[in-house]
Amino acid sequence: MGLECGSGLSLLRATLAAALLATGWPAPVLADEAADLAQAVHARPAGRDLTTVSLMELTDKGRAPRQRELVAYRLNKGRGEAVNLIRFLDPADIAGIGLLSLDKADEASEQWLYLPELDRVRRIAGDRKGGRFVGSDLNYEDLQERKPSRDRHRLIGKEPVGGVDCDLLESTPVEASNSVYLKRISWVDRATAMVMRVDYFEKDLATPSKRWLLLSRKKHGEYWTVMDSRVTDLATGHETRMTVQSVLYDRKLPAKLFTPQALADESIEAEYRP
Amino acid sequence: MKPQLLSMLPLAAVLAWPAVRAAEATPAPLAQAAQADDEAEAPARAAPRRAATRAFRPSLKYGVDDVLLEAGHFPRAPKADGSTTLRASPYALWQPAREWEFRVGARLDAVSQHGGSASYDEVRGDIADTYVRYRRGDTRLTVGAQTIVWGRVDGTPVIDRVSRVDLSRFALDDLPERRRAQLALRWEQTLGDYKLDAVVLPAFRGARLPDVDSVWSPVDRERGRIIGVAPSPGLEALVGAARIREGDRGSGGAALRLSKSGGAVDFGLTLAHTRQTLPYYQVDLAEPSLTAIYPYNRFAGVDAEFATGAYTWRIELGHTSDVPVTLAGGERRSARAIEGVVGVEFFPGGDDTRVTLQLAARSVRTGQTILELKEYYGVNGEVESMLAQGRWKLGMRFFSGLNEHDLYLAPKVSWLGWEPLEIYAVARHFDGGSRTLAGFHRDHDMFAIGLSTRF
Repeated sequence: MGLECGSGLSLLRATLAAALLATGWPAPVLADEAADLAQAVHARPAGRDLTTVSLMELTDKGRAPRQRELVAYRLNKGRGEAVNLIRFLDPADIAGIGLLSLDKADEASEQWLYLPELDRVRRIAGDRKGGRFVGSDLNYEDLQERKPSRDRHRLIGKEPVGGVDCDLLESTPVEASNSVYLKRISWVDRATAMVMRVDYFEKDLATPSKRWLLLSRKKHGEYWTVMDSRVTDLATGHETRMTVQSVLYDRKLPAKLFTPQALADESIEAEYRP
Repeated sequence: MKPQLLSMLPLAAVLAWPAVRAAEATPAPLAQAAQADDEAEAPARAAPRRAATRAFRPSLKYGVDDVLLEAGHFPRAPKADGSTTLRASPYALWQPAREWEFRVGARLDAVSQHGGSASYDEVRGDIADTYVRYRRGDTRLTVGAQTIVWGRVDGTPVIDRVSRVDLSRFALDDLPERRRAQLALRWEQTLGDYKLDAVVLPAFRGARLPDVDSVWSPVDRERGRIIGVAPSPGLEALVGAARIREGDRGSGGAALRLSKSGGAVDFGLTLAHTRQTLPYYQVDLAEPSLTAIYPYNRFAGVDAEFATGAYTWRIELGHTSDVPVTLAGGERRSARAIEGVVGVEFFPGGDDTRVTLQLAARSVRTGQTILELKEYYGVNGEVESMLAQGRWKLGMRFFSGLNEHDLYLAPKVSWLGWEPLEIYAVARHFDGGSRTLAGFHRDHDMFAIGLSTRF
């Protein structure tokens, strides 16, 4: 994986250099440093496995908020592979629905959805990027791991967020087709390699369409964790707030938890809930 | 499956379902924030804070599933001007120990059909999933009334051989609501990526049928028709005068399914020697009577499921022997049937619209002239689109014959803003040839409003 990441970075740099020579554009400011920062954010350690219980609250102006509670497990399998299992706990009409995803080193993804009403596990396509996740302000792409090599990065300034000095990292897809966004600008706390804010540009390179903001973070052992955050649709004002209620790292979650069989039998998964 | 999830659907489908990666279900930066170092060979960077599993806690869950209240109007049905339906499925689930699970459930239905030649009111109760389950390791045993729906495709799975069909509202509802519990012994054994599923049906129950006066009854006494059978003057006279009764009961047979999940392709093999719960009406001209019988079938089927890019493909193929068919003189004969369904699910434009399409084919292999259709090819599916952050949903369910005129369209608009309520308005249109499903119901176009929920 180290070789792969290194190759990816080299390729990224070579691509950027070639593009600059071809276009005669001024060199992006600190391109290598930007790529290094993007890689640092991506590679920041977060344990072998992770368990969280979270509350997602969707708020529309003038309407009662809607809530979803979910438990999520993640296992880092090494060599660039990871598996995730998510189970919705509330509200009643979606409780029990589960999702299992296997993210491969080549960024391909295999996914299965469990439907309790049918007691059936369905395979689903992992390539979806657009569309809103459970009515939230998150696109499906926002929930996917995006490797730094898929974007061109450059540092465009500095600006504090919540009293924390941040570098502004602009990330533009190398291939426009693999993202629903034209670009993203991230406010990165270099000391912790944590992203504090992101502006997403979906239709217009000059005007962000939505904003993600970190509201609270906490260090668990050696791992920083986002505990509270908010995504705002800047056009409609609709908000999605995600509050992490419980976090557990490195519990030695077994591989058998991340199987279609465990996905289909909630009682197996329930034993591992915090 | 709840469509708002699947937008998917699925809810779900659901819910294809999103590539949810973030362990904390947060956007990419959050995912990064709590994301594991993907270069690590799963090192234990921090000492385990606790054992992975927790001590078992007995649990008791209870609630009401599948609550539906619907009022509908039939603009041109001779039998009725309208109907009101209320149903609910209360349940309790108790897990006193890690290995044991007890569930009790009931299904309550109330129907009022009014304003035509066949008005009636009906309140009925039925057993819902009520079972004892034992699990240990990779083994799960379940005894009791269960709803077991095998299949990969939406609509009408070919390999669905052990479920009990609910025809009380024809095909108006989603598949889970069109199936009922029946007594079964079930053994599920996981063997790595494989799963063995064995089912024995010791006490057979036929499909749950509506009252014979219902517009959704498969037997129309006023017109002298049986669904799926070519009309004739003789049949008209017979159906109008005949007694309609249930046939024998006995056991339901047994079935075995082996499936594999987890690789590039999920697949399964199904063998069954079971009685299908859809009735075949045997004619007795002497009495005269129509007796619903349920002959044993032998079934062998294969199925597969895989994704290519943004498309998910689902395929089921099956061969059934001993399928009852009717000769022109009313005599029953057995034939073979070959059935297949190829389904695809995708999201046009990668946005909040979900499409499922199934191409279905059925061929009855017999050299004799029969009253039923020998060949049927059709397409069915659903289109759903979520609007306003999932508060509104537009949908359309449909099926259409390709070699026969057989058309069902059901556009629907739903309000989902008061979770877990869904409030909807739907129009249902039927049209088709005399031996088709939609043709049988061609007078039963319907406009309805309703709400569904669960607690």
